[in-house]
Amino acid sequence: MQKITHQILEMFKGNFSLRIERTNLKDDLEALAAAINFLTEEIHESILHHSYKNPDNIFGLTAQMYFILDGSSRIVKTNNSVHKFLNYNQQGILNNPFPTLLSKESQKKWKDTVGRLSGSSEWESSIRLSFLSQTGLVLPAECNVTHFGKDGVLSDKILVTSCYILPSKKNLALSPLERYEPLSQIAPPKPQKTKRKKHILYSSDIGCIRAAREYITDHLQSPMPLIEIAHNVGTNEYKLKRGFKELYGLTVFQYIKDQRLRKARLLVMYTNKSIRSIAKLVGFKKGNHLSREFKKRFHYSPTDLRMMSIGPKEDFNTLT
Amino acid sequence: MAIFINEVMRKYVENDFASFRMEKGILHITYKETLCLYLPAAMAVVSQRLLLQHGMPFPILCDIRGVNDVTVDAKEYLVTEGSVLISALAMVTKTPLSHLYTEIYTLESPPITLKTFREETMALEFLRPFVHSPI
Repeated sequence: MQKITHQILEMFKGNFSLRIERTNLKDDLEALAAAINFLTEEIHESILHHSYKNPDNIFGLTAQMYFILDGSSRIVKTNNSVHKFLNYNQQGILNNPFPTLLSKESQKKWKDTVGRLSGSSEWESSIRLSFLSQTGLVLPAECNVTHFGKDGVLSDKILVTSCYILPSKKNLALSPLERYEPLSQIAPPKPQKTKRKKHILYSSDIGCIRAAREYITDHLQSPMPLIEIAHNVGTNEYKLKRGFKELYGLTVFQYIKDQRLRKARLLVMYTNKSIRSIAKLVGFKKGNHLSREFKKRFHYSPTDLRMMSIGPKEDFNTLT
Repeated sequence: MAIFINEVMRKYVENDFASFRMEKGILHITYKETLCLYLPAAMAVVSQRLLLQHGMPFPILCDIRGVNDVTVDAKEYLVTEGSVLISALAMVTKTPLSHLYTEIYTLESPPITLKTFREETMALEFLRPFVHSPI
């Protein structure tokens, strides 16, 4: 329960990088931890999507955590971000073995990676590790690990780095104002050029857009004019068009095409239906339309994929 | 081309993430214990399933009690690609954790006939009408 509380507090602070450490239990508490982790991951992805779209006002900063280790993986130097992310005092972890900061699974992964690469004098590798924070939470991290050769100032040292996206300082709701400026000193705002009105999504709109996505997945086979989707979920074309892009980062038509192509790809690989009938099954009017869009998306044609997929068919072993 | 599924014979295959058993025209998929279902694992399970189905849709009984963790991208893959060639899906959940993952999957409304059960016998009863007769 304590870890769950810590995790929720971190989320309040705008930190969606941490996760609750999971156990092998399958009880209610474990389900709650899993649900919170899942929610955190969904929010984190949504923030990344919005920061990509609005880099100026949502989550624009990146922070980097780094560790310099000696040849036997003991921590020689870290930066302040380690304290920010993991809550460890920098002095407190110096000279400690780096694997003590990792989850059990990651300790094994670390040992395997270092062991595998130790033969070569200079190497670099990407590895997904889970750090354990001092509060007992888990920080999953895509790490870059570099081992320097015998020459230079970093001779025989290992550098572990990992990047994160943080709230932008421009977002006043998420970071405190650093300095108070009297109103008189603040220059009047410059007249702005005509800007497109910001579209606000209300919860009822979000409900309609989610319903539209369900409608699309259920009707992939048939032609889907925007007006038909909008009417079926109780909204109008304008709201659907703007809201869908805002919520999912794709236009309605891009989403429909993406879903159709993803299904078509599997049907090409795992069935012997003709390209023409697959096209019809996933909602393309003609086989050549599917082929054209398929090649644009996957960089190979459905026929090329079919040729590559032909191999010995797998079948069940009969139980005796 | 349709393959003949023997009504009596039980057929079995397994990979690193799940076991697959065909029994009386129903494909039983049981995820392995303490499995972390990340994207490559989800892709391997879907791929193995489709290889075994030879292009035919089947009713599927899915037991996810072994799953310990699921990532968001794996869930999304299972909702989209993972729903291909499934005539009906019965999820068997017996623990709070497996029940949660089933709820999360169901919330995404995959385009298939789907129902959740506590007991396997009820799940099989639900799937029986979807078994296609051998041609």
